[in-house]
Amino acid sequence: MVAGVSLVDVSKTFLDGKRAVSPLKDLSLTVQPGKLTTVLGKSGCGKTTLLKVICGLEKIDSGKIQFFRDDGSAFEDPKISLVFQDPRLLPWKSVRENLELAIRTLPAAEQEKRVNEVLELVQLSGTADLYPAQLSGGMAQRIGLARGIISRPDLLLLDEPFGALDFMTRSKLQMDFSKIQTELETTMLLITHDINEAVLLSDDIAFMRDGKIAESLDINLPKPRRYGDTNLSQYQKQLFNFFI
Amino acid sequence: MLIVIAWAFLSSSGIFSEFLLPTPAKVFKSFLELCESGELSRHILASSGRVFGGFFMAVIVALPLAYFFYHSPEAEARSKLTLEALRFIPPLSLIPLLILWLGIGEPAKLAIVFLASFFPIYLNVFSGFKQINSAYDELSQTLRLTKLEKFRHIEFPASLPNIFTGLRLGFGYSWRALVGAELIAATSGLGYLIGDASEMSRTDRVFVGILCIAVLGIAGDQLFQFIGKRCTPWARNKW
Repeated sequence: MVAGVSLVDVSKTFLDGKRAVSPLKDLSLTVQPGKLTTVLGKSGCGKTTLLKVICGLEKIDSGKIQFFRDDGSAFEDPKISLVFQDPRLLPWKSVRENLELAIRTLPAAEQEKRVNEVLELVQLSGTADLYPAQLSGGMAQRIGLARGIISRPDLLLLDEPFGALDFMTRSKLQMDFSKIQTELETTMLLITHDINEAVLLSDDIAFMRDGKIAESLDINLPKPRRYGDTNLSQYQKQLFNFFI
Repeated sequence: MLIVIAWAFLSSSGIFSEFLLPTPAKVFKSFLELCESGELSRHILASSGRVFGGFFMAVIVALPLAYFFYHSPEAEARSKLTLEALRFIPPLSLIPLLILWLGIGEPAKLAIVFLASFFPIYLNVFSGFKQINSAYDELSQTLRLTKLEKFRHIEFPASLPNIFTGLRLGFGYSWRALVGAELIAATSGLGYLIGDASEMSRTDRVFVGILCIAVLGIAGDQLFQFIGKRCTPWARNKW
């Protein structure tokens, strides 16, 4: 099952010392079920806070967050997964154990089946018994991604999942993810400041500025997409104009 | 080996009298005598029993207390001064009081070991919990881990290297304090052996007692280090 999420006039204020910081100011956004929506914005514009309020890591001060199904009916307590910018794997657990933690309530046979499935999906079959310290940065990030999808979430939140990687690894992983996402039947919300990544992966892009969604853009190109496709450049130009 | 050669040289050179510094051969002969008579094993068993008893009690109290204070910063702040004050009191200075309260038997000695090993264990375990990467809180929330699951999968393994450091230090302090306690009030144990031999002017036996303590201490420390390495392969740089 997939879940959409609708945020209406959501506000959030933190106290940073004695200074009040408002990363979200009456923000409204709708993420359609089954789509990959990207929230694009400069560093520090409140993108990560947006993810945190959606998955309940932070409480909102005002506004409304509602989850809904394909048919528009309310969806109480959807299964939400979050993929962090750093893979956040537990170093004392093997790859298999890290993945199993996300599906610990399932029977053992089902756990094993899913671990093999997701490892194949992220092209890391054969690494199940390795420990995080034995993985490269790119491999660890793939495992982080695998942990996010192994529970088959209704909503997958991706917090700059490729942001900490070097250019080559990032580009490869982005293109691989473009293929992977076509096999995932879930709604995804991606947070990034990378215009190219946003255009490569998204169905819709929302541009965030000063705690609000300032612009929106639909990307009407077939998936999976590839870097170098000249059709991407028109969207990249448009988004670049939003930035400047 | 160099120390033994230097010891053999100094003790046989006549610089020190044999009473003050017996030769290694004489100490070894005494060691064999004590082994044959069964006296040494009796003292070792008595001391080891006290060390492990008091040490085990310290572990049983220190681990849950550190976990409780990690999750209750207010309670920790309120208790901090009291614990700090207790930490600075040398356990051996409490012997007169402990004998008054607990008698001259085993409980007083166990209490000394407990007090000596409690703080190194508690402080290291508490510090281990405090050092847990706060990013794991978000991970446990998104994975919807219960408190027990969070403890089992994150908090306990994350603090395990510090727990082993605490155990190693606490074990070392246990031996130090126990031998002190046995020197003052005991009829068995390595501390008693040393004290008794000293009164009988048997420096060779004093050396046997001291060397046994050193060997047992090193053996215990190596054991904790071995288990620690096996249990925390992700934290090899800590060992």
